Amino acid sequence: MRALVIGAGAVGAKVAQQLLSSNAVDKIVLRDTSPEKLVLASKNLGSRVEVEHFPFSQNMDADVVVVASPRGTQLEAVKKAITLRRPTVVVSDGLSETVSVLNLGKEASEFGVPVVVGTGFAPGLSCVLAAYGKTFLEETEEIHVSKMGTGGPACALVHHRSLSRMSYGWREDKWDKRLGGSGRELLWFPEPVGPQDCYHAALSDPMLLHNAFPEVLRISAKMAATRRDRLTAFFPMLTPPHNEGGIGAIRVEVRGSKSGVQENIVLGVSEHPALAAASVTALTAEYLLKHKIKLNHMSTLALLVEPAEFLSDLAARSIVVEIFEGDKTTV
Amino acid sequence: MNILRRALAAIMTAAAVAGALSFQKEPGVEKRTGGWKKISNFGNE
Repeated sequence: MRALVIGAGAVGAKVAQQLLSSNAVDKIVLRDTSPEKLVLASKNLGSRVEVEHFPFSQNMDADVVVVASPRGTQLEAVKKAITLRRPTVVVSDGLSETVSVLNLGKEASEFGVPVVVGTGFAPGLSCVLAAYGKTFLEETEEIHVSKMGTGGPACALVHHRSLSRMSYGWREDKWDKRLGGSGRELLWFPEPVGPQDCYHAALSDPMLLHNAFPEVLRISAKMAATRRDRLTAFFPMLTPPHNEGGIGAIRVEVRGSKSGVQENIVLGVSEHPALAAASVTALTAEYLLKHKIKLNHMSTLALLVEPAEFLSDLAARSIVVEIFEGDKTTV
Repeated sequence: MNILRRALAAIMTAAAVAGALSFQKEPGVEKRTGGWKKISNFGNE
């Protein structure tokens, strides 16, 4: 088995590492435009990695293609992979590019190619948590996703820009547009992240979740941000981002009813975003290689995997899911 | 003037303390405890 990993950044390098350590593949071809990143990754990953720098070969000779490259480069890579009929896993980050990738669904169906869109921390793990939360309920009315933290520099740039763009949420049969950085809400993430002020932002989770669960009446996504984040979002990044951000978290609230009683299910994960994204992506690629995901078109994780099994497999990779249990007492 | 100011400050402090104590003792105030719990056994919650 052979995997092509496009992007040797914070997520791509970790995906390659996980695929090799689980022996899911015999060889990894790691592709990036940055020679420094390739040298670093190949030093860490050993002899089973073959690096490919620019100009890239036109042939994607692999059993699975993992697209973990920065925003703005993913669409072309997915188009190429579909044309070459290669099973593809797309991490997905920016809202507009995720929508453009989803629009390739028709081509993927025509070519009969499996394409999994959104396999990062959020979107990705957030979609699986939403699917898992739904299993607690008989009827789901609302899904609200929030996230805190960033992975590598490319992720930090998307985070920065998303606060100055329009956010899209699904609200009773239409897309509800809100200005990024508005709608402050104090939300509790699992420890050590804890409470954070979250705001509307141009995130792609609602698009993927609506695609998976069109019957849900309200879907929204918010992102934790500071005052400085909101103020500087309209300008270019003033300082270069870190190679990898600190610990982050996601929180997914699923509201609905069971046996006529209104219920709220709150699930969360605290982890380094790049590590969590890499674990979700590598596991998805392994599911594709082992034919645990049977697919000949484009879809999202929320529909493709059995959530309990997927989260259990993730727990084996130290990605711990938590549930908020608030027992009410009257004093 | 200084005496008046001190008296006003004392009254305000007393009112704030009394308010806080009465809120704490008010019956029927819902207090949420609990918190995040790790899920170890998926599907068998």
